[in-house]
Amino acid sequence: MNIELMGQTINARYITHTRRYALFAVGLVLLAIFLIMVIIVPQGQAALERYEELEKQKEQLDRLQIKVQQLQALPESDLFANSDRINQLLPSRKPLLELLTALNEVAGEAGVVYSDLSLSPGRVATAGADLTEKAPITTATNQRTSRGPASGVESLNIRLRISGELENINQFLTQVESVAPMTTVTKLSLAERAASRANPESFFEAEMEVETYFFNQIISASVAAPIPSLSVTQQVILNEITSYTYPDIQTRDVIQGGVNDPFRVDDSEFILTQ
Amino acid sequence: MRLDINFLHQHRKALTSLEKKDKKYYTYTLYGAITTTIAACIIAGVSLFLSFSADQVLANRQSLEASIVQQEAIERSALVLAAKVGSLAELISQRGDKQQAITYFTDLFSGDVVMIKDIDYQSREGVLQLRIEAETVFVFESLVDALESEQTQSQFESITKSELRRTREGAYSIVVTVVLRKDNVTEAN
Repeated sequence: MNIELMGQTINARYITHTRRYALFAVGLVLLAIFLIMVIIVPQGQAALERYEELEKQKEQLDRLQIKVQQLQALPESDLFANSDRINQLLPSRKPLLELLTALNEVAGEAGVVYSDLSLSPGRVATAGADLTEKAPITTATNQRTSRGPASGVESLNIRLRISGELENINQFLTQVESVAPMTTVTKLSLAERAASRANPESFFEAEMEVETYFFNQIISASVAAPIPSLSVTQQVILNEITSYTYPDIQTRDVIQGGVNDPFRVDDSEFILTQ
Repeated sequence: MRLDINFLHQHRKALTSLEKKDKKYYTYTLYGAITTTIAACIIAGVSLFLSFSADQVLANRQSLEASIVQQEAIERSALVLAAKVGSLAELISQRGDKQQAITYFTDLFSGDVVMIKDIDYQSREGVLQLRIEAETVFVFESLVDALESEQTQSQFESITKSELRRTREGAYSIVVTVVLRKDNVTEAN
């Protein structure tokens, strides 16, 4: 079999017989080029990308594992142990009833009479606080809703007048700042009232403005976002809030139905078995 | 005389030499091809292994994410509580400055006939205004001296005196404005 190549006649059989090793070598070179182009380069690039991606995924996996461990440990943490106190000190809604109860209790303890209470509650329902409880976990950002006295905090101002002896007023001022919800005296105007027939001893009257705080912050987090850890200062605060007074809010029990509950089980008869 | 010329012998010799060269190149290319094939196999294997590992990691991740989502309520409570503690720390720190300032002035004038009559605390700005009343001019003088003393000045960012008044009863009062924290001075400006 003859092949015409560049004007010359080449006998293919002769070539395959005499230059077969050269032809094999050319074939192997072509095979190597094919392997490099088709497998090594694309697969190598893909493997590199996969490796980088895998490293990222492993990092995320580690973070998630840490988060799962943190979540499992959370119910036993100091934060959850003090959750009631924290929520009473800084509720997620305007703590009007709580503040009135606290003022009543503190006034009673200090021996002062308080009167002329006035306030402007503003928006009673706080959309932000509502979202705080119901927002789905999406991104890892804490958004400050407005410029309040502290981050995520808004205040409710109440004006009141208290009267009593100077010592009692001082006691009231001290106690009102160590009661839940978190309250601080922002304005005070003290005046001495002269003795009268009704009150033979002179007494003091204080017009004051107190600011009580509530939490109003939109909080959202991503699944991979870590659980925030408390700083040393915040740990100190957790210890400090145990010394605050937490007044009980009296709620009226709603009794429904008859006086006797025919299905009632006495506590003494209830035995827990495993 | 007859001369014998054997061209075939020459041709064979040339062919054998060429074949030797070809064989040498063939050996090199064979090694090259084998190396390339092994490399291709290794790379394909590594790629497969990585792909398998990625699938495993993804499965683990999904399982962990599901576990986290299940504990969403705990996480939400923790986030809210942590944010509240942060806010409480901020509030207590701000209020602590105010309480310290009032305690300082109360202790400063405890021996004299001086009374803090008005308090105005601006928590956002960290500014505390006190109206201090002295019963006599002599007590008032010592009050001003105490306010201007180096010890008092060093306690706070700034202390400003204003609104000096004399009441009908002959008492003297002065308004003292105390800036509690340095950062608030710049913020207020």
